[in-house]
Amino acid sequence: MELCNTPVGNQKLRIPKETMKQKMDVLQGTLALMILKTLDVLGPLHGYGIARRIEQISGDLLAVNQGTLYPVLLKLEQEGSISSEWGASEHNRRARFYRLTRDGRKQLQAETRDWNQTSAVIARFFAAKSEDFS
Amino acid sequence: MKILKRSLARLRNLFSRHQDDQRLKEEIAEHVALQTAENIRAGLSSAEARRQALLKFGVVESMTEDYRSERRFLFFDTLVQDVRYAFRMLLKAPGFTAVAVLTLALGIGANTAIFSLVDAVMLKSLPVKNPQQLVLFQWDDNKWAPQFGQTGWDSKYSFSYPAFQQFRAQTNVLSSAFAWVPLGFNDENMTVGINGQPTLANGQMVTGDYFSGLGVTPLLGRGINEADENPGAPRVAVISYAYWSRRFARDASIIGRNVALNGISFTIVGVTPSSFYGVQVGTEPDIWVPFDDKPNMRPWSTQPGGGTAASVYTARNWLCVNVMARLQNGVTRAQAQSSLDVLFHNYVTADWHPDNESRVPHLFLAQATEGLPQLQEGTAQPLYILMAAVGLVLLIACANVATLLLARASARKKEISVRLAIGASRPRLIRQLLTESVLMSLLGAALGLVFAAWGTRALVALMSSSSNQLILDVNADAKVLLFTLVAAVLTGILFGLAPAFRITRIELAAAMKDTAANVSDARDKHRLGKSLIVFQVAVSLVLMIGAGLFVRTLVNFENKNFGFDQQNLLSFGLDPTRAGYHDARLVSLYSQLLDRIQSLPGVKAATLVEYAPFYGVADNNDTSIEGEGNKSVSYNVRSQMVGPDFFTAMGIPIIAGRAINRTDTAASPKIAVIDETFARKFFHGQYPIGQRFSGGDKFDPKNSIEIVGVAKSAELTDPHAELKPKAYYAYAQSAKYLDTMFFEVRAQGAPANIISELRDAVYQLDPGLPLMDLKTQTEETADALSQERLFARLTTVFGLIALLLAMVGLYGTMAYSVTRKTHEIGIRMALGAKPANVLAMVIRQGITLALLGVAIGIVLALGATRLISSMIFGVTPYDPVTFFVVAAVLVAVAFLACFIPARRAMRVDPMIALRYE
Repeated sequence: MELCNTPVGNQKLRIPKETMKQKMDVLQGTLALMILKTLDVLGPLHGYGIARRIEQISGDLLAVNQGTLYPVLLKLEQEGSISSEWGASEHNRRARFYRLTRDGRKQLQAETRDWNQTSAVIARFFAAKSEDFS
Repeated sequence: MKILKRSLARLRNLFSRHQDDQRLKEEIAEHVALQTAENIRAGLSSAEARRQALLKFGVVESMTEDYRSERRFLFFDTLVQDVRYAFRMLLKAPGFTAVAVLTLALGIGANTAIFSLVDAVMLKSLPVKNPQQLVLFQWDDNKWAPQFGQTGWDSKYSFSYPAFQQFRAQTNVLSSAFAWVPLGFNDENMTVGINGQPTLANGQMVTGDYFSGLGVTPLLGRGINEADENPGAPRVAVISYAYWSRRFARDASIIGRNVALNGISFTIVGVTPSSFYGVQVGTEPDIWVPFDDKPNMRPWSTQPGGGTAASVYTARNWLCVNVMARLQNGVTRAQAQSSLDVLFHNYVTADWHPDNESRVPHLFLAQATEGLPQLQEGTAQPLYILMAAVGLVLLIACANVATLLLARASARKKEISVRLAIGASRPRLIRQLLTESVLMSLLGAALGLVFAAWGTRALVALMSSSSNQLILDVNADAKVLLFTLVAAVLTGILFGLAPAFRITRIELAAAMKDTAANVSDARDKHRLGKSLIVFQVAVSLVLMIGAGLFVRTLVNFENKNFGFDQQNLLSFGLDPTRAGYHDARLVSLYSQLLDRIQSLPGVKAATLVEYAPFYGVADNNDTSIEGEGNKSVSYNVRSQMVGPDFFTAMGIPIIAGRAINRTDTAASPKIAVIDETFARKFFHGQYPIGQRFSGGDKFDPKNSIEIVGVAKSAELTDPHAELKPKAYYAYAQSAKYLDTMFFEVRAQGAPANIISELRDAVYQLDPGLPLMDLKTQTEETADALSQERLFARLTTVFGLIALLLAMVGLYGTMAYSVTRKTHEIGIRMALGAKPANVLAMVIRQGITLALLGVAIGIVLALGATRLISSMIFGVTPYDPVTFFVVAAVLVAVAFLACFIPARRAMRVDPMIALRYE
């Protein structure tokens, strides 16, 4: 039996599949918000540009695995938050440029509000001392 | 909302895989290039810069997988893989695949064939414009008004022509209304003179709105219109596409050609499109003509009003036409119905004043998408029973293939174990196995469609009789294809599910070693196989018992004594009224012809009768007997006009008084012979000879008839019917009512030998009289029993298929079990078991399964046969003989199916068996 020809046999390549998926879900949420904000601030940008920007601001979140950006970009595009088209990069080569759509802007505003509320609440919890609860 | 958008996008992406992979590849390349350039600027060597860029980007493969799963439903990707893999697996075991696909093709094909028939008869809409807007007129005929007389098939759809004219005038609720009526009771109701030769065709009279109301645009020329109905308008006819092809070789110059219809010249003005078959499923008129009151062309070839009216236009209470209409825009069916019901109420009560308003019948408008439901009403139950029978065949086929899959499971054990071991999940494997089974059943369905296309046509031919062809459009439409697809997918899941669950439940370590150690697992697997065998035996027993009952029904009908002699009897009909013979001239024609025929060599006896035995049509009249006073008691009596020598020629004995003979002429007193049933029911032991009776609901002395004889009861109309009281009249005394008569000729030898002499005799008298329905009584009886024959044949075929499948299943299971137990048998024999013991052991196991199946099957059959009790004759639904014989046959065949593997087991060489591993 040829292993590599069986559809399930292919799975041997995807080693830690389950754990990776979970990390992705957490990452995807924050990453999506960062992408939206980046495009909001800087305007249309290609994948590398977005990665650079996120790296500059967030430090090492994307220091490895920059590639994880692309599935998130696709998800946002399919949800209609961003759109994309071919354009010329700095080196005059073909690159895919992403831009925020109207839906995306609204989503960003809503999520920013949510995020601020949540982080404010969490911040207050962390600031609280033990006597505050008594 | 977001999820919806994503799903839509994914759906769109289904069709653009390569293009999008290309896009990602380009984006990655550009990303890495930009990062490399950045790194070089930071001072790295170009090779190192690229290496760092790639490292930073991360693992491309896993990202691509995530990207893809984001982009599309992963399900479809893997489905394609699964299907490709399934194809390879099926090709690897061609023998197994062929058997399974063939079994499924039989099962699914049989279902498709019967469903095509159900579809053609019950579900297809009329091939006209917006058929769902048509309404069919009907009334509740259980409230029969006494003045009503009816000719035709179903009285609840029959109306008189004058009533139709009143309906038609209701243009405030009806946008168009049309009526139609066949010219006779069979396909040969019209004589068409083509190049001087009389031929027979199926003709129908229609009103002016028929074609425009149905919205049928003729292929050539025009339809019949209102102007054609005017008295004195040129006579025109429209012919069907099939008739045009058959008789005129699709001659395009047909429009304007004159043909003689029943001796009168008509001009052909149109040809209907090929899809149009009229408004009644199962029939197709050849020729349509406008309503006419010429005596040559009458509704049902019958005297208007049964001889009481001058023309169809004036016969107020003669129900003979069917009526359909289209509603006015914005008018609902209920509105139209209530408005027309008032009209109908007034129409009925104009001639009749019932003591109670509730005795007046009401008019109803039924939706008529499928047309006049004549065929539907007669065949619905038989079709559903056949559908159930083929459903059972398919279940057996499923069980059979499931058994095969289980047997194959051991061959695939290693493959499955390896896949499980390297991390495939069980649901994933089950899905793969189900893909294989659904693929198999789809292949089976594709082949089944071919079987069905052939089978449906054969079925339609079986259902037709020689004089009434069943004309059905059985081409597979979307409904049939969808049915087949759904049946195939369900079938695949049904037979694949249990084996898939079973196969994937494997003790990994043991299976990988592949020793005989995992006995418990194998035994478990075998239990499913055994229950499948029991199931197959049980269901095939049910089918075979059904078949047995239908076969016995047919035999009982064929051997039934109907009270007349069917031997060497030949009959044919003549309708000289189409050639202008009426009254005394008609009587004299018949009597001359009868004399000629009686004197032919080879003819033993000959007579005349109004309707040939089992022609399926009869006159039923209200009859009142003298002496019952003004009690207004009437009886429904079936009447036949007969010629002289009728009783001797037909072999019906006279038990009292005398027969009808040559001296009973128009000049002599009117007489009748009644039958035993009449005497018993209405004379209550009184001596009936010399008594008088008349038609109508009150005894009418002026039109009364004297009873001169009593004949033994005989069934002459319908082999399925109960005996009805009968009265026979002398045809020569009923000239006013006379039209078509049948000649009954008893030959001395084989009836076929005298056919040409009979034709010559008619031809010599008048070359313009074609012989209708020329056939032997054997053929006529066979035609009347066509449904019984169809059922006996079909259910026997289904029963045999079921038996074959069940026995192949039993054989396969036993053979597999013997192979698996070779080791055990070897040990037994080494320890001293005799070959006979081994033989008995294997057979005992198989027969136990068969007996269990038979027991369960008998219980199921006891419940199932009650459902067909209305369709069987001469046997009870739990006929012990049928049950016993079928069970015995099944056990005997099961014994054979077990014997072959058992004999192999017996011949096991202990030395070889013990080394076998």
